[in-house]
Amino acid sequence: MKNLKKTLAMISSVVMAGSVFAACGGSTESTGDTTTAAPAADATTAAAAEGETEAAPAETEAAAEGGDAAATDKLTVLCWNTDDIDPMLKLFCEKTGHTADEFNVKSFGCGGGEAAENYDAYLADANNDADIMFVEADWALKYINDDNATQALSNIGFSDADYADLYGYTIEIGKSTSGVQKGLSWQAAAGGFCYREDLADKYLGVKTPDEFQALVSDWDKFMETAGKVKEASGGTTAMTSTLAGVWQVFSAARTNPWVADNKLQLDDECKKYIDLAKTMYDNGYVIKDLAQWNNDWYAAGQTDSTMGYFVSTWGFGDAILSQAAGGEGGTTYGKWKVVVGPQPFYWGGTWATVATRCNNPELAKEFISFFTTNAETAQAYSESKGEYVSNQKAMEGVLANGSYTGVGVLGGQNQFETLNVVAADINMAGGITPYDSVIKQAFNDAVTQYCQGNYADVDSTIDAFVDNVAASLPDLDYSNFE
Amino acid sequence: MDISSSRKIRSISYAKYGYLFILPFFVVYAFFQVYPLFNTFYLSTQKSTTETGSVVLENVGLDNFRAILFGEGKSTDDAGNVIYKETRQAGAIKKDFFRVMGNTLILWFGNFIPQIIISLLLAAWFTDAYLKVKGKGFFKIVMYMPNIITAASVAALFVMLFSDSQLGAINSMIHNAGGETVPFVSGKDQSRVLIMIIQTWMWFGNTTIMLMSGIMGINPSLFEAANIDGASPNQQFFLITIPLLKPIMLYTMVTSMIGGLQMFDIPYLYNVGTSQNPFTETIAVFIYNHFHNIKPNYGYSASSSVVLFVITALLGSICFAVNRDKDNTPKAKRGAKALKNKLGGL
Amino acid sequence: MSTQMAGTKSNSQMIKVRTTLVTIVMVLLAIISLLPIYILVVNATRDTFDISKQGISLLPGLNLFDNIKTLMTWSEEGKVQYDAFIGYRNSAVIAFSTTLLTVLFSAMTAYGIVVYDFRFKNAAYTIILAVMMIPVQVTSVGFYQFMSKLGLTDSYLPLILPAIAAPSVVFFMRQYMKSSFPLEIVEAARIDGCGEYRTFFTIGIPMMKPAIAVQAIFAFVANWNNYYTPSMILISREKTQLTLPMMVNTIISNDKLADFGANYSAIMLSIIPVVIVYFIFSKFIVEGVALGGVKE
Repeated sequence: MKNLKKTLAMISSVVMAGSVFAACGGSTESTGDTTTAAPAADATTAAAAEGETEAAPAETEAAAEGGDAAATDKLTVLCWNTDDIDPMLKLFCEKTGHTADEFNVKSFGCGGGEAAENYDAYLADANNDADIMFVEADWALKYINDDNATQALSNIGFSDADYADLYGYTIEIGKSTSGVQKGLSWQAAAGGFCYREDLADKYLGVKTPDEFQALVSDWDKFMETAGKVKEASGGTTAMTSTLAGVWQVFSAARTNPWVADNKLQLDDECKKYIDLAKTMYDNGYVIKDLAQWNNDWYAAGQTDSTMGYFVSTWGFGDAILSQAAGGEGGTTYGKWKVVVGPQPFYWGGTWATVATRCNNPELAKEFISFFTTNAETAQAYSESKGEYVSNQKAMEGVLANGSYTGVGVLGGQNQFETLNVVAADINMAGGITPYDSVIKQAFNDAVTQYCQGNYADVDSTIDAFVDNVAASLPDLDYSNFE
Repeated sequence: MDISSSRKIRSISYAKYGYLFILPFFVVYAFFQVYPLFNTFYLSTQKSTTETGSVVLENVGLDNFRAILFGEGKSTDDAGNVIYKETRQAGAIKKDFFRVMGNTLILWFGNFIPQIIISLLLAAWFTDAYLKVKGKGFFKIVMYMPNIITAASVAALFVMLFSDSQLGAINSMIHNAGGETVPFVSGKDQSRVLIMIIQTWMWFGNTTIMLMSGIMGINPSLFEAANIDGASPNQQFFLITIPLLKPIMLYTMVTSMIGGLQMFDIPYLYNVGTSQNPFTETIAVFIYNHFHNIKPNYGYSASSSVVLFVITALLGSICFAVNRDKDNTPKAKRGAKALKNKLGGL
Repeated sequence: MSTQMAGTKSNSQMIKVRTTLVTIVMVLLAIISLLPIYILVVNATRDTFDISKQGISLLPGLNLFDNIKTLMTWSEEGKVQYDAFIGYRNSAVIAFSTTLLTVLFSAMTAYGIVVYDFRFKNAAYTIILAVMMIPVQVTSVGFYQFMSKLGLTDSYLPLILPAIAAPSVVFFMRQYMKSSFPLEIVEAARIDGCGEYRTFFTIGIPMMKPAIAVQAIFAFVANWNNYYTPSMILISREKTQLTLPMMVNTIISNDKLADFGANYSAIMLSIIPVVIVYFIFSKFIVEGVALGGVKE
C-alpha cells in the first residue's frame, strides 16, 4: 500500500514536471503571438459573425490553438517583406486619417519565392486572420485560382469600370484562370537598363542616355557594345552584372505561356536566350558566376566590374540600384542612368488580393483602391515612393506635374520618363500559369549548367530543362518534347 | 544474457517498475516517432495534388516507388488497359533520385577518406607515449571545436567567404592575383570538394577522439613488447594499431555512412537564397525540397524516405553484426574487447 | 626482419625529430580548425567596403559595434527576422528543456532496463537499439504532416516533447550503468525501505552523474544547433519564435541586405554562446566523446 502511494506520488510529480516543460514551450509560443494578437475570443466571435469559417479549408478545425488568433478587428496584410507595405501605410494613414493601429502587417521576412510556403502554413490555421495578401506574378495563380484562399474583388465592391485607368497587363495577371478578377497591382513593373554614366563615357565616349540607347537598341547592338566595353576596359568591365537580368527581358518577351492545354512548351524567345546567354557567359559580358541577389551582386555596382543592371520600377531604390551604388553617398551613387535597352520588359510586380477570410471588406477596398483605381492617391504614392504605378492616369499626372524628378541614384534623371516608354509596350502576351515559378527556375538552372559547360549543346540543355520540370510537375503533358 | 541481474533481483514483484520506468520513453516514441514513421510509409503510397489550394491525397499504391526506382509511370495502352512503362516524368524523377543518391555517396566518401586518414594519424600520435608533444589537451580541444559549431552558421560563413564570382572574398583574392575565379558554390567538382572540406573540418576532431579511445583499448603491453623487439613507430602503427582497430574503424565507417546519408544542413544551407546546386543535392535535401515546394510532392518525399530507411536498416544490421557480442557493450569497448580476445590467443 | 632493422634506429634523436614533426602538423591542424572562426570574428569587426575591397584580412577593424547596430536597425525595421537576443532566448528555451527531458527520461529508461527484470526487457532494449539509427529525415514527412493535423505547427511542443525518447542516450546510459552501477545498492536501499522511485532519484541519478553530464552537454549542443526540425515545424517564421540557426538562415537568404560586416556579425553572434559553453566544458566534452569507448 505504502509503495503504491509512493508510486502515485512519483508519477504525479513526473507528470507535473512534464507539464511544466509543456507550459514552458506553450508560454514562449504565446508570448510570441501576443505581440500582434488580440484576445482569441474576439477572433472566434468575429469570424463566426462573418460566416467565414465554412470557407476555410477542411483540415483547419484541428488547428485549434488558443493563443493563435490574430487581431480580426485589424486589417491584416500578408507580405514577405516590408519594402512596399511600410511606405504604403505611411501615405495611406497620412491621407485618409486612418491610423497604423488599424493594420496588422504580417511580414514573413523572406524572399518572394519562399512566401507561398509561409502563406500556406499561416492560412492552414483557420484562426489566423488575413485580409489582404500580396502575391508575386510567378505564383499568383496558386492563390488566385483557389477560392478558399482569395475572393473576387467584386465581393468587396469593385466593378470592372473601376479598372479603366489601369495598365491592361496588371489587370490580366490579377484574373483567375476562369476570368474572375481577384487581384490588382499598384505597380506597372516596367523596367530598363541602368548603366554607369562615367564608364560609358570612359569606354564608349557616350555622354547622354540617348546616345547610349542607340548603342544597345537591340540585342545585336547590345552584344557588339558589350564587346567594345570588354575590350576598352582591358577585360575588367562586363556589360551587365548577371544573366538573370537578361533573362527577365527575354521572359517578358515570350508570346506563349509555359503551359498550354496542360502541355509544357518552350517559347522561341527562350531558345534565343539560351544561345545569347552562352555567348555572353563565354565572352565575359556578364560577371562570371555572379549570382543575382547575392551580397556580391550589390557590391559589383561599387566597383568597375559591371557596366549595368537590368532594373524594374521597384528596383531603383534599395531593392537593387541604390544599394548597388552603395546607398546615398556611396561610391557610385548618382553616376547611374537608365535607358529602355534592347527590348522593353516588365519584371515582377506585386499584386494585392483579398483573402476569403477577410473580415474588413470596407477598409480592404479603401486600401486597395487607394493605390490602384484612385488616380489621385495613386499619383501621390507614385511621387512619394518613386514607384511607377499601374494607374495610367496617375502616371500621366506625375509626368505632367513635374514635381517628381527621379531617384537620387540616377543623378538627376527621372526614371519615369524612360519607364513610361517601356510601359506602353508591355502586352504580357505570354500570360501566366500556376506553374511559372517552378518552370522558370528549372529553365534558369538548366541554362546556368549549360553556360558552365555541364551540357554539351542547346538540345541537351532543353532536355535537362524538361527533365527538371517533369520531376517536379508529373501531371503535365510532355509530348511536345518527345 | 542478463543472468547476473536476474540472479541479483529475483523478486518478480518489481517487474512492474521496470515497465513504469520505460513507459514514458515508449509512449513518446510511439507518438512522435513510430506513428510518423508509419505515416511516412502511408504517404509513400499517396500522390499529392494542390490544384485546389490545399493538399489532396490520392492512393497510388506503389507507383511512387516504380517511378523513383525504375522510372516507370502509369499509362494506358491502346486497348485502354493500365500498363506501366517508361515515361518522361517517371524517368526524370528516377534520374533525380539516383543523382542525389550518387551525390550523397560521393560527398560522404570524399569527407570520410580524408577524415579517417587524418584522424588515424592524430589518434596514433595522441596516444603515442613516446612522443613528447606539449599541449596535447589543448590540441584535442581546438580540433574538436568545429564539431560543436552550429552547422547553419558554418554554412553561412563558408558561403560568404567562398561565393562564386570575382567579388567573393576568396575569389576576389584569386582574381586580383590574376587567377581564374573558382565557382565554389555552383560548380560541379568545386562545390563538392568544398563541402567535403567543410565536413572533414567539422568531423575530424570527433573521429580522432573515437579512434583514440579504440587505441587506448589496445593492450599497452603489446606496444611495449613491440618496442622491446625494436619495432619502429611506423611498424607499430601499421602492424599493431591498424589491424587491431579494424572493427572500430568499420563501426566508425558504418555510423559515419548512416550519418552521411542524413547529410542535410551544409548542402542545403550552402545554397540558401539561390537555387539548389544539383551536384551537391543529397537525398535528405531531395526529400526536404520535394516536400517544401510550391508544388509539394509528398509521395516522392515519402517513398524516397522509405528507400532511405531500408538502406539505413541494412547498414545498421551490418553494424550490429560486426559488433555483435553477448554483452552489447559499447562500440569502442566492444572493439577493444575483441582486440583483447585476439591478443589472448596470440 | 625489417622490424629489427628499423628498430635499431629508434633512439632518442629519432623521437625528438618525430616529436617536432608531429607538433608542426598538430599546430597546422589547430590553425586550420580555428582559422575560419578567426576570420569570421575579424570580418565581423570590419566595414563592408573594406571587406568587399580586400576580401580576407587577418587584422580586425573597428566596426563591430556599427555592424551590430546595422543589424539591430534591420531587425527593428522588420527587414530581416534576426534578433540575436530573441534567438538566444528561444534556442535556450528549446535546448534547456529538451536537454532536461532527454537526460531525465533516458536515465529513467536505462535504469528501468538495467535494474529491473521483466518479461519484455530484452525486447524493449532491442527495439531501442533498432530505432537508434532511423534518420530523422525518414520520419520527417510523416512527422510534419501529423503535427500539422494536430495543429502543433508553430508550437514548441513538437520540438521539445520528442526529446523524452532519445534512443542513443538511453543506449549510452545503459552501457554506463552496466559497467559502473552496482545493483546491490538498489537491494540495500530496498532493505532500508526506500521506495523504487526514491531510490532512482536519490541513488540512481547521483551515481549516473558523469554519464548524465556528458549526455546533457551533447544534447544541449545538438539541440541548440538543430536546424532541420525547427525549420519544419515553425512554419510561420514569426521572429519572436525563431531559433538562432533559423535566424542565421534568414540572414543569408535575405536578398536585400548587402552589408557584409553586419552579415558576418550576425553569424558571429550566433556562434558565441556555443563556443563559450564549449570552452567552459571542453575537457569534459572531449573526455565524454572518448567515454563511450574507454569506460571499462
